[in-house]
Amino acid sequence: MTAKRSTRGTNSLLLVAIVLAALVAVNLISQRRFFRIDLTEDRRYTLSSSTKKILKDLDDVVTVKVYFSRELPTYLMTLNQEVRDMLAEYGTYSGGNLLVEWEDPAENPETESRVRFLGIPQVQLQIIEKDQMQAVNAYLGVAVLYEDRSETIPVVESVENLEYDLTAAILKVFRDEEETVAVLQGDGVEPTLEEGLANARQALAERYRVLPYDPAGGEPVPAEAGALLVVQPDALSDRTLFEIDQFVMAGGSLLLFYDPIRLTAGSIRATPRLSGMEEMLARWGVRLGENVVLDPRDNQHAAFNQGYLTFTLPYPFWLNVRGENVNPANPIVNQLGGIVLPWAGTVAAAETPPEGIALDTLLWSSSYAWTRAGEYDLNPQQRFADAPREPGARLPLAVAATGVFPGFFAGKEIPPLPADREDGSDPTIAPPPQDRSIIESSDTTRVVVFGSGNMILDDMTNQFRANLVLLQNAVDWLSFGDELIAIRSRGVSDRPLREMSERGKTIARFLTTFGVPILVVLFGLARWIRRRNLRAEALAAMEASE
Amino acid sequence: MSNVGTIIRKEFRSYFDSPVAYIYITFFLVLSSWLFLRGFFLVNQANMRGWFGILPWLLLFFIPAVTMRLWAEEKKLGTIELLMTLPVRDHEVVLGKYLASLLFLALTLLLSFSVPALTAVLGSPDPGPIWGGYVGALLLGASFLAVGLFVSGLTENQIIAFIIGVTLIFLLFVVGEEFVLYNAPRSLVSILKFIGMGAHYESVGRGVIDSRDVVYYVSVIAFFLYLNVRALESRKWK
Repeated sequence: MTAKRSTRGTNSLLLVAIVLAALVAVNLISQRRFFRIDLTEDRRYTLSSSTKKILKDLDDVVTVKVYFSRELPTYLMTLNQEVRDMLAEYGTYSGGNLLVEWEDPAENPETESRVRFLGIPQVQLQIIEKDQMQAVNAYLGVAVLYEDRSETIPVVESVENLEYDLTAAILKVFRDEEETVAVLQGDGVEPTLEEGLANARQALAERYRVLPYDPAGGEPVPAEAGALLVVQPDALSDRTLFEIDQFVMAGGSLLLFYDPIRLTAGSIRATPRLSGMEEMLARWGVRLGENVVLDPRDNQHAAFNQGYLTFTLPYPFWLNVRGENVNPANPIVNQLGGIVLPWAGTVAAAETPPEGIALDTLLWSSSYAWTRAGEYDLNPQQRFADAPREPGARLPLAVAATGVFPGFFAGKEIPPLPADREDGSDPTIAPPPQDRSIIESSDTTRVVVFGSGNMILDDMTNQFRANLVLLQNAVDWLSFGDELIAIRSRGVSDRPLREMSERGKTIARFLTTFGVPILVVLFGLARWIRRRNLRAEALAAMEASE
Repeated sequence: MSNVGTIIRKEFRSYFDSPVAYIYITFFLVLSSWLFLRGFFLVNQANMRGWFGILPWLLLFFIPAVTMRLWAEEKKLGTIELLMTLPVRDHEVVLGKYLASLLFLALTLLLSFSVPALTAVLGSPDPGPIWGGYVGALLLGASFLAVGLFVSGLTENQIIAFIIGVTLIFLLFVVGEEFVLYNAPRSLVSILKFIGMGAHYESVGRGVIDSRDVVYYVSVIAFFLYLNVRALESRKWK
């Protein structure tokens, strides 16, 4: 009997083990072949076709290192999870070519220095512990590594744009040739890559080959450039316009920081400046304002010297764009806070965009802003008597245009080279080259215009680093846009409750909490009473029969 | 299979013959709503993330309370001997008791409709995650039930069944949670994460139903029900 029992016991254990093994096997198989149904209204957890394709095309292992601190405040736990979820989604489409590793840099000094080298900073976070506000240091960075190349997302604050950033980073580490950005130099453009654009050059050189382009020789913009950067154009010659137009027509993208005014050293007065590009941009649906925007609310403090004194004043001419006035859907700007546009003019999208072009306003002033035109008094201590009393419409400060652009020089002659402006000597007007034809319409490409040239000059970027990030984002968007175009940013999911009085809240709370339970208890009582009556009847019937 | 149906009906009915079921349901509804509504107006968002976040912790106590009685009572009263002599197979009894308790859980979750109704009246919630959350809650609760039922079969003392049930479910639940994984050896992390019942609940609560999670929960349920059948059989050898 004992022997029999123990065999049965062994058999039983064996069976349990077999069942367990079978279930584990089923689960292992299910890990390989699975599907996810995203029930959310905005498909928050569904990757875009761009990302899926890029992941599918991976032909080598790329590593995503998530440098998140282990101890994160509770409000970031969701973020942590969402990043995990998104990377898990990435992993499923990569065919095993995406390796995700999580590491807390603080746990290992070696990692910490590597992370610093990658450009991932330690950020300060607020936590409430034992009812006290405390600041903790944490890492929230992600690095994408392939061979000896790396791309980083220094701080992940939300998953809003994480898909764009991650996919862009994966694209970039795999890119064999470096993308080239040409920067217009000469033809009246004052800031040079050495002076004025030194910071911008450095920021761009982190990711791109930066190439100066001087139109004086009559050469077209180098074909290897994917994007052309034009800062503070000043009455560009027709020939330069032609080269810019032809560059865009050939599929290049254009990034313009125009300036509506010309500052004079040592003076508080400024004169209007025309870029020369007004007409061409208007054809493409982007209108430059020929004005300067002043904002009494969203502005930056600026320091001024008066004799030996330095004082800081809120300065309406330096616009500081607030989060609510940033286009939340555009990856150039939507992650940025503290973008400062000094002495900016409006950049408006045409109300009816030209056929084939989609226009997106990127930045706005506050609704209290107003414009001035003509001669400008820049004195910070003036009385701004012309400020409007009532808030009006927000003023647009930057526009992105995407689409097929009509050639500005279609059906025209190629303009001759202008005289050399510098020395004023004998005008060397070269005849239009015979071997060049005019491209009359572009492929799908992009043009982005900001209302301030000063915003990316060294004087400003030394103070306002966000402007440099904006420049990098803009060039990224222009260079990788096509491959990333299907990636939409995930809106912050905000579904606020209706406004309610405290009384209403109390009633709602009470009804929700106790409504159903009261019904349940009533039902239980009714059932109990009925059963008792039934039982009593049955007893009575039994007694009667006896 | 009609045997199973009969057992389900008998078991499900018996929940409501004693005041216990009403007390459980009332406690569950009041506690879940109350805990949820404490933060609801502060967060000011029309969603049920918070409610589904509290849910596992309530179910952790609610489910063993529901299941503790199922076998332990039969054992204590000796009715189990009677049950076993009836012309029904062991697995039919297990399945019947299990499905009846699942029905009870589904009913309880259904009665929490006042919470989604509140969010819908006061705002415009995304219905997807709410449905997903309920599917997740049902799957999670169903797994808890399978564990609880198995534990109840191990003892004739309801209190012990409850305590062991809570402990076992708690362990199975938290083993895949972050705070456990942080301190676990690296090689074990992915295994622990897979075993943890909570880790599989997360994405369903967000509104993403992953076939892997469903397979996992069904496996857990199948495994513990199977264990339950085996444990019943082992009685016969004694």
